[in-house]
Amino acid sequence: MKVESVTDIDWKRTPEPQADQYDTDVAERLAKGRGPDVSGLENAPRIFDGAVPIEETTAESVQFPESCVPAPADHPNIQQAVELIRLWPTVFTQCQRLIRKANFFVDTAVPEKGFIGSLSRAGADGFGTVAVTVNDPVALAESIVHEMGHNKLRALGVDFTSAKRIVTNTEGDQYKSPVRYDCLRPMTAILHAMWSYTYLTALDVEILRASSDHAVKHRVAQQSLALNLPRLDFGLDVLQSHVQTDEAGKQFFFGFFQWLDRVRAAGYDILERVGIKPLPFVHPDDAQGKTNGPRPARVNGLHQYRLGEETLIYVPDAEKAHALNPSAVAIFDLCDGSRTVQDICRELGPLVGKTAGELTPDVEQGVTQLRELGLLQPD
Amino acid sequence: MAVAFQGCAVAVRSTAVEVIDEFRRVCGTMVVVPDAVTPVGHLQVDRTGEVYVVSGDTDVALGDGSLADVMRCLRYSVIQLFIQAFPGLYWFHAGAVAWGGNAVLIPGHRGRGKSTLVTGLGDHGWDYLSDDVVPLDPQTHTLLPLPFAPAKREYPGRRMRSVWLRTTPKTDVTVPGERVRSGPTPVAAFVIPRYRQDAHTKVAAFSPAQAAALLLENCWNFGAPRANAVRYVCALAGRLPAVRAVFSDGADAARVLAGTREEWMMDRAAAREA
Repeated sequence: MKVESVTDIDWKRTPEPQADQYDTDVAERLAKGRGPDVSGLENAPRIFDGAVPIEETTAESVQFPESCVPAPADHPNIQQAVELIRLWPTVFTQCQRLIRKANFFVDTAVPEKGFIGSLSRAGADGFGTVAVTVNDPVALAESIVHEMGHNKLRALGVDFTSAKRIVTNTEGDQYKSPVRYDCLRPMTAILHAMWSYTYLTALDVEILRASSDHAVKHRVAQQSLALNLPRLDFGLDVLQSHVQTDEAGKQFFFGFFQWLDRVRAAGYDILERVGIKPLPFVHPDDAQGKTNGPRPARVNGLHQYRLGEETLIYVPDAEKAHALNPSAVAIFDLCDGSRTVQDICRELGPLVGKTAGELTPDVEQGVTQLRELGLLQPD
Repeated sequence: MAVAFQGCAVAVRSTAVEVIDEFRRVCGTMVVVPDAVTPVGHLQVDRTGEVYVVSGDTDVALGDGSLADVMRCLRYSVIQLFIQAFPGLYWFHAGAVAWGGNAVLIPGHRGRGKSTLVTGLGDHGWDYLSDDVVPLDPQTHTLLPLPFAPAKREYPGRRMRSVWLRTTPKTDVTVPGERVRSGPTPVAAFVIPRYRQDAHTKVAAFSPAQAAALLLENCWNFGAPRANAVRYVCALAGRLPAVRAVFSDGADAARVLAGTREEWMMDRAAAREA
C-alpha cells in the first residue's frame, strides 16, 4: 500500500510491524529521504542479507565510552544477532529498510559472554543509523531492533523532546520514565521508551517462541522478559494517565495499546509457563518517597516463640496466634518503629541478594499483612 | 444413664426410651451406672408433641428438636460439662487415634476431614480415641479418650458451598469395642487434614510454627494462665512431628498415612532427637 499524504495514513496500523510493511512504507515516506550518506560504503561488509552496510567508526563519534573499540565486521555475535532477528521476519525486513548503516563496537569493560546488556544509540548521522556493542548476541539483537524502533518513531514525527504530531503534551510537562530514573522526562521521551521496549520485548517473545536454543531462551526469559514486562506495565500506566494526542495520535495509540497488550500477555504467559517470576518494578522516586513515610512498629505485649526458622506470635488481647515464615520474621523483626519500609528493604537486600527496589513490593505486602494480622500498630 | 470421663459423670434422664437408647449408642464405652462416679451435671430430655426439649445444665441451643438434633445437643452439653470439670486439660477441636503406645492428634476446623481420617485409619487397625473433641493432659503429655461414636460426612464428589457442612448429616461409623482406647496415650505426632476437591493424596511435613498456630486456633479451653498454654503448645509442636494430609479420597489418605507411618512418626522425631 502506498501512502500519498499524512491524512491518508491509517495511524492504527503504524505502531505494530505489519506483515505487508505498511508501517515501514509510512516511515520511509515521512522520513523524506533523511538518513546518512552511505556513499563510500559500497564495498563495506554488510548484514541483513546484504541490505545494511557496516561502517567502522570511533567510539567518540557515537558518544560511546572510551572502553568501546570498533568490532571486527566478522564478529560472530553480529551474525548470531541477525539470525535471532530473522525469527521475526516482519521486523527483519523492517531492519533491512529502515537501517541505512550500522556501527559495531566491543565494550572492553564488560565480559563478552554471560550477561544480557549493551550500549546502543542512533549513530552519528541520526535517522537510519544504529551504533551498538556486540558483547552479547541476544543483547545485540535486542539493541538493533530497539534502535530501529527509535528510528521509525522519529520518522513518524515523534522525537525525544518534541513531536510534529501524535503527542501534544508540552516539553515542560514531565513524567516518570520506565527506563530513565535520574530525572523526569517529557511525554515524547516516555513514548520513545515504551515504544522501543515494546519492540525489544516483542523480539524476546519471538525468540522464545521460535528458538530451539534452550540456554538462550532461559537467559532471554530471566534477564530480559522478567525485567522488562513490569517496566512496560509501569510505563503503560503513565501513558494512559497522561498522554495528550491529536487526531492521528488517537488512532496511533489505539493501535499501540492493542499491540502492547498482546506483547505483554504473550510475555507473561511465557514467564508463567517457564516458571520465572517477573521482577517487580518500583520507580526509584516512589521508593525514595517512602524514606519519609511511616515507620511500622510492632504492637506491645506480643508473645514470640521461635520454632526452628519460623516464629509463632501470640496476641494476648485478641487471643490469636500466627505462624510467621522466615521472610515474614525478617520483616517483623525490623518493624521497631525506627525504620521506614525503604530502610527495611535496604537492610534486608544484602541478605537476600536483591536491591532495595526489587524488595520493596514484597516488603510492602509483608508489612500490610502483618498489620492486618494485628501484629503492627495501625498506620 | 450416665456418661463418664476421668471418674466424673453427667447424668442423662428421659422419659423417651428412644432418646436414652440412641444416646447410649452414641456414648458407647463411656456409659456407666449412675451414681457410681462423681456427678458433674445432669441433663433432662422431655418430649413435647413431635419435638424434644433439653433442660438441665446446658446452654447448647436446640435446633429443630428432632432426635438427631437432641443427640447433637446432648453430646456438646456433656462435653461442656466435662470441660468445666477439668479446666486443667487442654481441649482441642480434633480427632485422635493411636497406634501401639503413640497417639496422633488430628486438629482442624469443620469440614477439613478429621472424622474421615480417624475412621479411615481405624480401618487400618488404629485404635480410636475421639473424632471431634480431644482432651490433652499437659502434665503427662497424653491424649485422653473421649470416644463418642464417630461419624463422617460422605463427600458428594463435587464442590459444595460451606453451608453444606452444616446441613448435611454425618453417617455413623461403628468402631468395635476392642478398638476403642480406654486409657491415656502419649501424643506422638500431629496430622493436619485438608480435604480438597479433586486433590490427589499428598502427605508432607508441616512446620512446627504452623502446627502450633493451628493447635491454638483449635483449642477450646486453655485453662489459665493462658500464656502457659501457649508456651506448652509451642514446646509440644516444636518437639513432635507434624504432617499435612491433603486429599479428596479419605480412604486413600488413610491408606497412605498408615503405610508411611514410620516415616512421618518416627523419622522426624528421631531427627529432632539427633
